[in-house]
Amino acid sequence: MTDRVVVTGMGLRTPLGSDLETLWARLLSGESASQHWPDLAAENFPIASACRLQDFEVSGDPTRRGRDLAVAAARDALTDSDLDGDDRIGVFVGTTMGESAAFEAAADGAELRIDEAAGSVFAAEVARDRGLAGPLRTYGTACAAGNYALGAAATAVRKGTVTAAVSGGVEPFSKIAMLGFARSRAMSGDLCRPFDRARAGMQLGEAAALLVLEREDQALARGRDPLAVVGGLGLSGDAFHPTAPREDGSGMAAAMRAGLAAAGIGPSEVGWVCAHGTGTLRSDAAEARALHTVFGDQTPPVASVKGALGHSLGAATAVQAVVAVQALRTRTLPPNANLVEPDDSLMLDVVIEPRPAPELRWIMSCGYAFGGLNSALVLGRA
Amino acid sequence: MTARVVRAGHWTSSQVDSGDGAVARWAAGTLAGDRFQADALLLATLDSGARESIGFWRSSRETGFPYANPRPFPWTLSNSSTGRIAQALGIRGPTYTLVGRSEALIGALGHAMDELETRPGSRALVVALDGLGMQVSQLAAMCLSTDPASYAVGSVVARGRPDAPADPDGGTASQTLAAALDRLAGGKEALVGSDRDGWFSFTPSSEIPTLVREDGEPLVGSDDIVGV
Repeated sequence: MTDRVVVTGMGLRTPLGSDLETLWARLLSGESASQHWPDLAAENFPIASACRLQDFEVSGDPTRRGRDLAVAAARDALTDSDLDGDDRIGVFVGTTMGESAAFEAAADGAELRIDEAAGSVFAAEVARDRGLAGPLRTYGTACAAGNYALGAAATAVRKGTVTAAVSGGVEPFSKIAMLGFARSRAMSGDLCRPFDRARAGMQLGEAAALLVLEREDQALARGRDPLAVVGGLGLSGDAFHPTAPREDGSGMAAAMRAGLAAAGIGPSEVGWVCAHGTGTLRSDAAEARALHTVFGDQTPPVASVKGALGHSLGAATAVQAVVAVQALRTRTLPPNANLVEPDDSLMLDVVIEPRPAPELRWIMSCGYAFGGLNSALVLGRA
Repeated sequence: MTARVVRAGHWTSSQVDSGDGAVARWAAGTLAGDRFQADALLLATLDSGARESIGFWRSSRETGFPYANPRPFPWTLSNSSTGRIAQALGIRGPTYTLVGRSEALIGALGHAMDELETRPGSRALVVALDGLGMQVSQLAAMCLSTDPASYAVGSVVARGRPDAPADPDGGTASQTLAAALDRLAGGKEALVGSDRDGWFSFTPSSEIPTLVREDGEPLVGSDDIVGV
């Protein structure tokens, strides 16, 4: 018997693919989903490049886009895990902006129904669609929200509060965020280039990524091969500034150490860091300092997927978790897209081409957020 | 597992129309002023960030996007209040923001209990903050500890399905927590939860008396102003 929590299914909608095989192939090729969007330019957004999903249309109602993304990803994840409705399957979702289009419509005079606009609507819709009667949890923890949801789901599974959990992050494209980040001068007008010497900021994305978690013994008993092990989640707070990280990376480092402790492993056992890597000057530099603080001269290879996929805010770390699981299964590290000239001052081994990693056993996936939130999720080979 | 309620209170403010940033500063100032201290922060809310999202978008449309004022943007995020409170109280441990009605409060209480279980002797601060659609912004907070040396005004127990009926579901997190604290302050038991999301019971303690602030708002319990 084991109380290990494992991943048994994954569902996703990303700008580089709505199935794992497509996403993985495009990530390995170094592709970026960044595009110029005429509709944004026509509305006079200061920046009109973003990583959005193309051809995703379900209800046709923009104020339901997040729900549509969530349900699509959840259906795929549950099918992948061969699980269906159960009275104790919980839904744990992270998000930053909720149904952003509903708030935009309210500003234009539409009635605001807060229960259909707040981020909690995603978990509720998944539960309704799939007939899941377990607890519903929504983590409004900004760009670290997916990690929060996955960590909380793993704890609930381990403690037996739920028999399984659908967990991850959901973020429909938010014009509020598009404008806010652009006007805050945090956004690149060109490509997002994490860890590049000429990096100029993040680029906004959208995505949904949901993973099914359950106890390993339960998965094996019903004939499922676990895809990966959830080692543990580390969290910390900066208590420093509403938007800026501590420059010394001490808060990030505290989360990384807590993640290692939760997984019961040492720094030398981590074979890849799927970095937060937003491509902003400050955040990338603070993250590099944190990595050196925790890993010293044994800092593992690092890559961010935000150059390829943009920053999908509350879904970002859930997408990273999907990528990490696939990296563990294929023993391959995906490249850090758009890197032209690595920033030597960061002293990181940034992955620039797909890299075989036959000994890969553990991955750390990091996410930090406005409000001084730091998270590090550790995932391991099944 | 049982945790002791070592400090609690609820407050209202008429700053409902002045934006989420002002509400967050009010909440942070109130908790800091009443000397709440904790190692972890768990905030439950239905609408933190909603008012600022609407306001930011509306004003940006008026000015034109190239001239939009970015200052309100960070307050459109539902965790902005949590960050402000954590900064004011110097909390460098885990900080959670759970979104929803009473299920968000249940989640916050659950994570608080998990934190206390993981780190014995630490303190977890559960905060519920809402405002949209109400006449006032409402803040309710309780600081939990497992430290047996601390005075307690009540205890919180996570448990399975209760025998007694709970209050009707559907309230916001702050309404639900404020109602439970009122019962606790009145020496009565309270029950919060649902069959879907789990249950917590609140039991009053006679260790220290219920306090009433000069402005009439209740502040139930304290471990460092006993006898006031």
